[in-house]
Formats: sequence, C-alpha cells, structure tokens
Amino acid sequence: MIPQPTSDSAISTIIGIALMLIISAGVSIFFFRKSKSFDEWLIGHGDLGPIVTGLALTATWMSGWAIYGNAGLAYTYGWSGSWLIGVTNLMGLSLCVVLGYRMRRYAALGAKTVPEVVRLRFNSKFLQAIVGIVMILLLIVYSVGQYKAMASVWKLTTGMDWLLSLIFTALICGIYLALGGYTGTQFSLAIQGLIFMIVGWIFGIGSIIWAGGPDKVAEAIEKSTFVRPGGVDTGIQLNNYIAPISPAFAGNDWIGVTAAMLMFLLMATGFPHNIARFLGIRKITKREYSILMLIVILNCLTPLMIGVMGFVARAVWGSELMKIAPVYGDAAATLVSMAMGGPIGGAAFSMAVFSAAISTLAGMVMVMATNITRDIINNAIPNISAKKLLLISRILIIPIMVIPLWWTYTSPPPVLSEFMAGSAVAQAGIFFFVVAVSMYWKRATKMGALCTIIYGMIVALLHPSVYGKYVYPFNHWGIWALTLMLGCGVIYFITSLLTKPLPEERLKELFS
Amino acid sequence: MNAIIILILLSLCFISVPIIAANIGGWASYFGIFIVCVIWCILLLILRIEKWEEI
Repeated sequence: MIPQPTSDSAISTIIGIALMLIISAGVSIFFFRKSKSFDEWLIGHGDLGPIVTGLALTATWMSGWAIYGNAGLAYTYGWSGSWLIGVTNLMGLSLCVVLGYRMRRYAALGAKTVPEVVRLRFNSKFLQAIVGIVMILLLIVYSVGQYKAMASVWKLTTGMDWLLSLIFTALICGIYLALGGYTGTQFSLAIQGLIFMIVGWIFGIGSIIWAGGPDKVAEAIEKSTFVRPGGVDTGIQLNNYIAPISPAFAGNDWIGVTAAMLMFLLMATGFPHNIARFLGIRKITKREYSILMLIVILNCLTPLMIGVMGFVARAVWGSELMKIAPVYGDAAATLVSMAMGGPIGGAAFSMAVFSAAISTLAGMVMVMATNITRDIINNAIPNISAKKLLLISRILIIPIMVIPLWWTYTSPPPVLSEFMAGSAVAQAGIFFFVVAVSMYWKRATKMGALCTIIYGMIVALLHPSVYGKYVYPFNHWGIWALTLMLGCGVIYFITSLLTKPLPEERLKELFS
Repeated sequence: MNAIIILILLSLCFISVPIIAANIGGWASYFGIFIVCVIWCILLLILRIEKWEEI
C-alpha cells in the first residue's frame, strides 16, 4: 500500500530536517563571526583541506536531481532512465577534480569568483560581466529543480500545502546562506554531503532487500511499460537501456545516450558552483589528492542508490504514482523510505533530500549573488566600499531565491531531472570550454570565449521543450544537446585560433 | 605509465559504457558501468599524479 502522510510522519520530518539545519546553521553562524571582510565572506581563507573540499564538491554536484529526481527517472523510464540518473557521473566529477585544481592559481592572483577567473585569464572586465549574467540565467533554471525536490518531500511527508512547502524551504536556505558566506557554506556542504551519502546508501541497499531481492525487482522492470504523467499507458517496454518514448527523452536512442554521457562528462567542470569549490582549497599533497578522489568515488555511487529506490517503487507499486500530480514518479524515493522505515524512515530520507537540494541551492545562490555584486556592480563602480558590497550580496539573496520559487509554484516540472538536464547541457557546453579549458590552453582568446557563450545561449533556446519543438531536428534531445556542446567546442577552438591571444608576458604570469 | 596509453585507456572506458548497456542489461549493466567509471577515475588519478607539476 502506498504510504500516506500522518501526524507522526510530519513531526518526524520536521525534527529530522530541523536537526540537519541546526547543525548547518551552527556552522554558518560560527563562520559568520569569523568573516570580517567581503573577501573573506566570499572565499574564506584558502585553507580548506581535501576531505572538506571533497565532500563539499560532491554536495554541490549532487542536487535535488540526484538525491530525489533519480528515483523519479528510474520509476518513470526503467533502465532507460539510467543515463540521466548519471550512471557515468563519476567520469565527469573526477575530471572536474583534475581540471578544477588549477583554480588555486587564479585564487592566488586575486580571483574570488569564477567570472573573476575569466577576467584574469582574458584580461577583460566585459567578459567577466557577460559570464556573470549568463551564469545567473542558467542557474535560475537549475534552482527550480531544488525547490521542487525540497517542497515535494515536505508535502509528501507532512501533507502541507504546496505553496507553504515552497516558502518554508526558501526561508531556510536564505537564512543560513546570508549568515555563513563561502567558508560557512563549504563546511555546511561537507556535512550535508556526508549525510546524504550515508542515508542514500542505507536506503538504496535496504530497499532492494525490502522489495524481495534484485532479481524480483529486475523481473518487474522487464514487464513494465511507459506510463505518461497522468496515467496513460503507452505500452512501450522499459526492459532496455533505450526506450523509444519520445525524441525529447535522453534515453530514446543511442544519440540521446551519447549526448547524456557527454553532458555528464563536461557538466561537473562546467557548473560554476562546482568548480568554485576549488577557490578555497589549500595546496595539497599527492596523498591528500588521492583521498579527495576516494571521497568523490564513494559519493558518486549515491545517485545510483537513489535510482535503485525508483526501480524498487516501480516493482512494488506498479505505475500508480504516475497518477499523483504534481509530483508523479518523483515521489518514489520518499514513499519507499516511508514504507520501509515508517515516519523515521521518511524523516531520514527528507534530511538527505534537504541536504542535497539546500547544499546545491546555497552554492548556486552564492554564485549568483556574488556575480551581481563582484562581477557586475563592482566592475561598474570600482570604488564602492567592501561593506556595501557585502550588504548588497546579502540583500540580493532574496530576489535570487524568489524568482525560481515563483516558477516552481506556477509550473512545476513533471519529471524533475529531465527539466534540470536542459540547463545542465548549456552550462556544460559553455563553461567547460570558457572556464576550464581556458585555464590550460594558452591559445584561447577573449573572442573565442565570447562567441562560445553567444552560440551556447542561442542553441539553449532551441531546447526541445522551448523552441526546439518547432525547429527540426532540435525536437530531438540528443541532437540538440550534441549540437550545443560539440558546437561550443568547435566555435571556441576555431574562433580562438583565428583571433589574437593575450601578449606573451601576460600569459607567462598565468601559465608559468 | 605513458600519458598517451592512459588517454587511450580512458577513451576505451568511455566507449565501453554503451556497449555494456546494450549487450548485458539489467543490474549487471547498471553497476557494471559504475565499475568502468571507477577504472576511469583511477586512470585519471594516475595521469594527474604523473603530471603533478604541469597540472
């Protein structure tokens, strides 16, 4: 029987989430007292070690998509949902660990934000502002997913109204972010990363046992068919790693699969809130570097564990959840946790979802707020006082959180992870080249970076759910995503080779 | 290990993922792909440590 919210589940969830937030807020307040300047608030003291950085990195990487939406993907699409679940997510995050470490070099040169790295690299304040604006636009879309994850789990476990659930989650995020700043965020992120790793693994493994073993689950998935949100059965089998559901679905064919793999490979490095984790890391040894990589390996298995809960839900309840609006299959993991562990199980899983979603949202809001103050306002008014910048950053957190909140309230995406993948492709295509490759490739030019951004943003509008549905062949997700990501690469390299790089003396400062 | 050999092995890991998914299926593919990713990660780590100063 599908579990229903009760007063016990509501109380347990409130206690569980409150506990996680009290620990996070405590850490934030501690660092709020230590942050004496705007720069410290932004980047801390550049003394964070491999364990904190590793856990914080996995926390910003794994959002509501991974810890909540993955179960929805497995439930809705069966094995063909595995590609957006991120079975290959470790490839991308380990690449980010290798490439992102060079951020330290730019932090030493004075960079406090990712757009500042771009300014230093290309000696262009204009490019810094453009990168800041584009990041804000793409991250707002990505924030919508975090709200849906947190508000859904709150609604499912407490039975509270959708709008109130959304407002509640937004208030919590805003308070602890305004208090803690970067270092506070980094430590809170580390704690949250640890919480969702433990909870995710326990529920992933436990749910298979609860459902009667892996063979029984696999057998049920073999017999399952694709049911649309609303409950219409299409009869399309879900027994393979591709399923011809719709060209707009990533697992529709091998072109879509290739695009999803490429997206996961590039997006961890392309996500500004991810690569920004390396701005505060201290110099580490080879042994410490291996520890950082080990943490990444362990936590990258967590999204797969959440996917397992979706397969289990499908095996136990069939397609019943596809009739429950507005959450549909995304409810799978929360309901499995409640069915397995009662109110305590629901509360523990809610803690994990809040940990994942809040950590990513916090990382993104931080990037967006500082993009406006540091990369746009401070760029235009160089003499503005640090005190004013800090105040503006904290005030800006409010509108930055309200815009995606309104979006989630008025039109929540039916399958969370599919929606978020749209923004992820654009971030992967644009910032992997403009930020990460540029840190290593001397020949990269300002014009190359600018053309890549313009191209990426234009093609982003051709997403199958936006204008792509009117423009063949962009109604196909795989073709759209490959056109965006590979196109960004082609534009970046060709334009850079055709234009003049920075003077050799300047490049020596950055690359020596 | 030579950097070029590592890069070839990394490419093989990437290419093997859809092959595993198409030819094995079920749980074996689901967690098998992750094992391939762990191998990829170890190869990257070796490459990173070998090129410590350059990266």
